[in-house]
Amino acid sequence: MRTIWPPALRLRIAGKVIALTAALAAAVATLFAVTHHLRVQELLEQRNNEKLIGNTKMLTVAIQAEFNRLSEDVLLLSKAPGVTFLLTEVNHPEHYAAEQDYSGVAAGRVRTIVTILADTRNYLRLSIYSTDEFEGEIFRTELSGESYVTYEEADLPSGIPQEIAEIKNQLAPGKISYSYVDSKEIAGGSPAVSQSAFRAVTPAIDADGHDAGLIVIEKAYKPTLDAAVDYMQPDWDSVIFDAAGNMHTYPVGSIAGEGGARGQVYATIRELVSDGPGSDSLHNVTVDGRDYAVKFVEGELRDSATPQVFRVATIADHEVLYADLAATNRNNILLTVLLVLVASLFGLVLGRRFVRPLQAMNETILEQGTDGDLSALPVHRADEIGDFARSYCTIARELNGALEDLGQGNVDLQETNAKLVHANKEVRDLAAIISHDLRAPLINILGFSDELTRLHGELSGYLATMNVDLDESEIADLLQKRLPTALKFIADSSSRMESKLDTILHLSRRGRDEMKPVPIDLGKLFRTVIESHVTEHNPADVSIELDSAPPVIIDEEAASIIANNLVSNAVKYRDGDRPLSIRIRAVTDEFGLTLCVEDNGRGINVADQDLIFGLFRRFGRQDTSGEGIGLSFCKALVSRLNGKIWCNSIAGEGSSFFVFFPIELLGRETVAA
Amino acid sequence: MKKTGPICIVDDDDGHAYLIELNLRQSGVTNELLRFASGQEFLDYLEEDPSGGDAPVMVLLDLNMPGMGGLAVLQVVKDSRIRRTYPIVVLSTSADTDEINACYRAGCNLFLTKPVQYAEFTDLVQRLGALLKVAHFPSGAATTGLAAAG
Repeated sequence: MRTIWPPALRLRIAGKVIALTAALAAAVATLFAVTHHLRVQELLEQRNNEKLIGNTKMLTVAIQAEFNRLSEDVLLLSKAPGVTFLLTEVNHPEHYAAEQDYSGVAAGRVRTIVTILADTRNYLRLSIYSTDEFEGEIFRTELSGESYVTYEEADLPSGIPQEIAEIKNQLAPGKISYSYVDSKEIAGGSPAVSQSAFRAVTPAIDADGHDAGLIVIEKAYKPTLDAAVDYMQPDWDSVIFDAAGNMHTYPVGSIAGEGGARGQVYATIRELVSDGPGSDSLHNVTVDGRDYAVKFVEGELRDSATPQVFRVATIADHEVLYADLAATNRNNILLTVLLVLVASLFGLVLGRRFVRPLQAMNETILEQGTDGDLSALPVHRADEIGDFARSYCTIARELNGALEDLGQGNVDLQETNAKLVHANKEVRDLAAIISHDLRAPLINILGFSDELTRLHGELSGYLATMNVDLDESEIADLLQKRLPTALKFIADSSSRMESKLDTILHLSRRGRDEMKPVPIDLGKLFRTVIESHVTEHNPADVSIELDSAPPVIIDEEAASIIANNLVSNAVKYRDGDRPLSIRIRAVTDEFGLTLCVEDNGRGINVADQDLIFGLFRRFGRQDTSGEGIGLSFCKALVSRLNGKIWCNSIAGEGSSFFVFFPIELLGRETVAA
Repeated sequence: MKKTGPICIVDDDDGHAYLIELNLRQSGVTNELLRFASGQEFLDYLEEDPSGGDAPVMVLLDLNMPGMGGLAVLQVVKDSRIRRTYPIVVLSTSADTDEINACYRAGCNLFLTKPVQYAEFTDLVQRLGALLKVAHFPSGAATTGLAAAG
C-alpha cells in the first residue's frame, strides 16, 4: 500500500486535495448550471427572434430563392446550346425589369416577352417585350398601342378571357398553346381570391410575318400566399421552350438538387395558411438545414411590391435546443460523476491510508493502555499519524516512568501511613492498657487495702476482747499507728494514681470525641463562668469587655472547658496580698479573634511560661489543689480548633492568657463589629 | 423459695473474683458461686454440663482476659439457641464507649464498670446482689436460683 502514495503525502495534503476536489466539483457544477442557464436563455432569445424574423426569412428566402434559382437555372439553361428562349416568371414587373438581366441571353433570339401580371392591386398588366436586337435594351412592343393596358379591378374577372383571346388572335392565332397552372375560381375583388395563373405560350410573329420567338403569357391574380405557394408547388415543372417550340419541363425540386425540400417548405406554408392566423397548430419545417416548428401568427401575404410581412412563429429548433440541453446535462453529469468518483477515491484512500490506521491505533491504545505492547503503533510512518504514534509512545514511556516513581512514592506513603495507623492504634491500645491493665491491679490494691483496713478493725476488736493492753504493747504501736499509716499511704497513692489514669483516659477520649460547633456568645459564657468561680469566698473585681465580640462557632463543651480553666486559674493563683482583678476582653482582626484573660495574680516565671501547658505540670507554690491538667486540656482543645493558646506573665504582677480563634470559627454577621 | 442456679464469675483476676464473691455474699446472695479463671474454662463448663445442673442464674463476665476475651465468650453464649437466655452482666475496668456498644450489640444484658475505689466497688457489687434478689429471670433452661437471704 505504501508504494502507491509517496511517503511525502501527508495528512494535510490529502485533506487539501479532497477539499480542493470538492471545491472544484462544486465550481464545475455551478459553472455548468450557469452555462446551461445561459444556453437556455440564448435559445429562448433565438427562438423569440426567429419568431419575428425566422419565418419571414424562411418564407422570403425560400420563395425568393426559388425564384432566383429558377431564374438562374433558366439563364444557365438558356445559354446552353439549342436553347433559344426562356421564360419569365411572375414577379413584380419593375423588379423583373430592373433585375432580370437578359443581357446574357443570346442576342437576337428573344423577341418578345409578354407578361401578364396580376398584382395586388388587381389589375392586369400585359407587357410584351421584344428583344429584337437585345443589346442591353429591352424593347417594348406595345399591345394595342400602349405599353400598358390597364384594367381596373372591376373589369378584370370578365375581361381576362377576352384579353387572352385577343392576344391569342393578335399574335398567332392557332398557334398559341397555353396551360393553366392552376385554375381556381376568381372571386372578383375578394382578398381571399385564390390564385389563378396560367401561362400561354405562342410563337411570336412580328409584323413582317417573321418568326419572333415565343410569347409567353403568364398570368396570376393576386398572389396571395396560397397562390404563391401553389405557384411554386414542387410538382410544378418549370417550362422551358426551345427555339423549335418544344416545351421542356423541369422539376423545381431537382433544380436545386434538394429533392423535395422546398416542396416541404411550400407544403408547410400551405398548411400554415390553411391554419390561419392565430392557430396553434405546429408544423415542422427544415430551412437551411435547420429544423423549425412553426405556426402562423399573423399577417397575410400582400402584394409583392411591399415586403411580405407576415410572421410565422417558430418554436425554436426543438431538436437543437434539446440536443444542446442534453449535451450540457450529459457533460454536467459526466464531470460531476467524475469529480465525485475522484473525491470518493480520495475518501477511500483517506480511509485506508489514515482512518484505518487511526482506528487500529485507537484500539491498540485502548487495549494496551500505556504500559502494554505498543509496537503495533505505526511509529515509522512519515506523516502526522506517525508523529502521533511516536508522541504517544514517548508520552507512554514517560508516563510509565512517572507512574513507577509515583508507585514507589505511594508504597512509601502506604508504609508511612501503616506506621501512623499502627502508632495510632498503639496510642489507643495504650488507653486500653491504662483502662484495663493498670486499673485492674489498682482495684485489687485499693480493694485489699480496704479489706486490710477492715481486717485491722476486726483484729483490733479481737485484741480488745482479749484484754490486751494495747497502749503498753508494741502491738499497739503496730496496730494503731504503723499499720494504719501504711494502709493510708497505699490508699492515697493508689487513689492519686487512679485519678491520673482517669485524666489520661479522659484526655484521650476528648481527643476522639466529635465536636459539635455552635455559635458561642463569649460574653454570656464568661459571665456564667465568673458567677461560678467568683464567690464571696473568692471575691474579685471582674471586667468583662466582650460586648462587641462576634460569636465563636465551636463545641460548647470545649468552650466551657477553656473558659472555666482560664477563670479558675486566675481565681486559684491569686496574689494574697492584693484584691484579685480579672479583665476579660477580645480583639477581632482579619485573621480571627484573640481572647485575653488578664489577672493581677502571682504570675508565672518566664522560664515556666511555655511549660505550663504540659500535662501534669504545676509551677510555683503548690498551695492550691490541682492536677496540672487544665491548661494541657485547653491547649489540646484549642489545637483541635486550629487555634493557639499562649501566655504573657510577669512573676509577682499578673498573667495574661491569650486564646486565638481563626476567622473561620467566627460568626459571619459580626465580623465587621 | 430456694433458688438453685449458680452465679458464674468469669474473671482471670483472682483478686477481683475474690472481692466480687466477698461482696456478693455480704449482700446476702446464697447461690452457688462458680468462678472461672478464663473464658474457655467457662465455655468448657457449659459444654460439659449443658443441662445436668441448674443453668446459671447470672454470669458476671470480665472483658479483659488473656486468651479468649469476654466479648468472644459473650458472643458464643448469645449465639447459642439454648443459652442465649442466660443473663450476662459484663464487668469491665474501663468505660470505653466503643466497648460498651460492642457488648450490647453482642447481646449483653448489663454493662457495669468496676470502680477503682473500693467503697464504690463494694457498693456496686452489693447493689447487684440486691438486684438479683428482686429480679425475674427466664424460665426453662435458666432456672432462677436466687435465695432471698434477708
